[in-house]
Amino acid sequence: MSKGYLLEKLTWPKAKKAFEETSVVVIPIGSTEQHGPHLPLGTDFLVPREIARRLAERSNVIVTPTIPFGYAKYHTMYPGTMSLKEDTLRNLLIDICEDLLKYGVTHIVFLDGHGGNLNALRQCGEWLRERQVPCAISVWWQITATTDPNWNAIGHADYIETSAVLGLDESLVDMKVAKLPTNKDLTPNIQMLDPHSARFKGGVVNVNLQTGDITDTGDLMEFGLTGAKDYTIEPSTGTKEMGEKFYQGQVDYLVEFIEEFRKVTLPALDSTGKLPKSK
Amino acid sequence: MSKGYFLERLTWPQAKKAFEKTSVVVIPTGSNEQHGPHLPTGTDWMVAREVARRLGERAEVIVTPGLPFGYAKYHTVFPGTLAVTEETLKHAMIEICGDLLKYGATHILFVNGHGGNTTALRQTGEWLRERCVPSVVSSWWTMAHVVNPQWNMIGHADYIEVAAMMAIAPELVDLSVAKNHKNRKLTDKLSLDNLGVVRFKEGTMDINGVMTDVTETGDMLELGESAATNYDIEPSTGTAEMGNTILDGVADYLAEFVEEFRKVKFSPIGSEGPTAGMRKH
Repeated sequence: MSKGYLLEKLTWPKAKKAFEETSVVVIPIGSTEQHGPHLPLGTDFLVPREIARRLAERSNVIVTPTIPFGYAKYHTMYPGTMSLKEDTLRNLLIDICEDLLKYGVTHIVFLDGHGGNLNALRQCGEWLRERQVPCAISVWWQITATTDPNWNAIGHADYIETSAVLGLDESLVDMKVAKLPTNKDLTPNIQMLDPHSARFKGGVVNVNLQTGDITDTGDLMEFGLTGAKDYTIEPSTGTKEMGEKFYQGQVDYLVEFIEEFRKVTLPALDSTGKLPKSK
Repeated sequence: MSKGYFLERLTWPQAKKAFEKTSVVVIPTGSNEQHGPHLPTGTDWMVAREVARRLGERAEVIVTPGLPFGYAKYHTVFPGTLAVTEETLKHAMIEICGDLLKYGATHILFVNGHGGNTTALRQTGEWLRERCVPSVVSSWWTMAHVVNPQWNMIGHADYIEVAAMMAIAPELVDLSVAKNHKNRKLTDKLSLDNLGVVRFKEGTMDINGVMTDVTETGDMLELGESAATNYDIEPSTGTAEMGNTILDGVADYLAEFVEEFRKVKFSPIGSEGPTAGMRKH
């Protein structure tokens, strides 16, 4: 017996009961974007959709339909990527949250499969905070170390992401072309940590490149993304078994987190006595 | 063996090959919104996704992922509806179409599951027309009569929609509470043809209601939206067999349509007609 609900499967009277029973909502979001030569374009939304589906079985939450498009314009040098602008994504998220609040929702947890969405999600979080709604944004690569301390994401379409897709559907991975990528340097003295971070001597500056500027194959290294130390792990070392363990680990962590997160209440912005009294 | 391609399942090198083989792209659109006491809130996007899936098996097209949200703010008086504004929807559609044009898409077919999306899709179509890209919006429920002239949509969550969902996911349909609820009247003399149309004597006018103004249960009759003459048909008469006939029939129709649609070429605005040669800047 599932403890949570998938909203899309409910009629409105059933949704009404579900919103009366729990006021924590989980919104999976991703992106349709290139994932190197070996992973499918749907990777970033298929993975959080699966985490959310499993989470609904074990946690008393309402899971909304998955948003398959995010902000990924910097991937559009590769065919198949379909991206919103950041402003549109932010508006879309707020539009949907606005409806959720009508139904009594008090806590929102985004399960995000794509780093490029974080600015828009943060802006939506600001909007929710002004309405006293705690909002958490969980990206799976910040949780993998709780499953296995040796699992640290090292890049776009890396061995962990490969495992996650294998765990869903092995036919979606073209393993024979999976190979550890190398980022191109911008100049001999400027090394690209990822498409947005350039290392020069001891410091790092932000730049706004397309992924195609630093990789021919679409997959790329992301140095400093997590606590990883070993950046030589081949994507082909990912397995279906690792994928299954990945989903279980994500859900184990999120089930516990959500029980803690439910307890969070936030004061109104003008209630703490720091702002001048409104007239 | 499927003739078309499902973008989310392809790697980018596979997508590149697919865009080289075909430049017709199918985008499913829908909504997550209340569908009366008997149908799930996912109905509109689930049906659009299914029509697109069946079309992708039959025609050499590229099917993209679909946005599960549409413009349906007037449904948010019933819990479970999640909607974006028309403005947001328009921007979202234009932005993803902008990416498709980068990959050489020449023709766009929206397989639409929700009437409220049509304004934003028309605006997207204007944007595409300015770029010489033909785009059409196919709303599946308006095509049931192509399959069987007796089948005409009569309303929101009607027997046609029930049939489609019975074919896709019967466990999500609660037939025990399905009933043809007639629309509320605003006054003795003002009746509602549907959410947006008020009837007074022999004339009608547009009106700005929300769903609870016309129905207590969320389902609603929509007079004049199709060629229907009988508005008494119970939703519970929709069957999985009928649903499969409609979904396959619409997919067959669209597969044939796509082959004709491929031939459509639009000339640049201002290149012919009364404005030809007029532009100076």
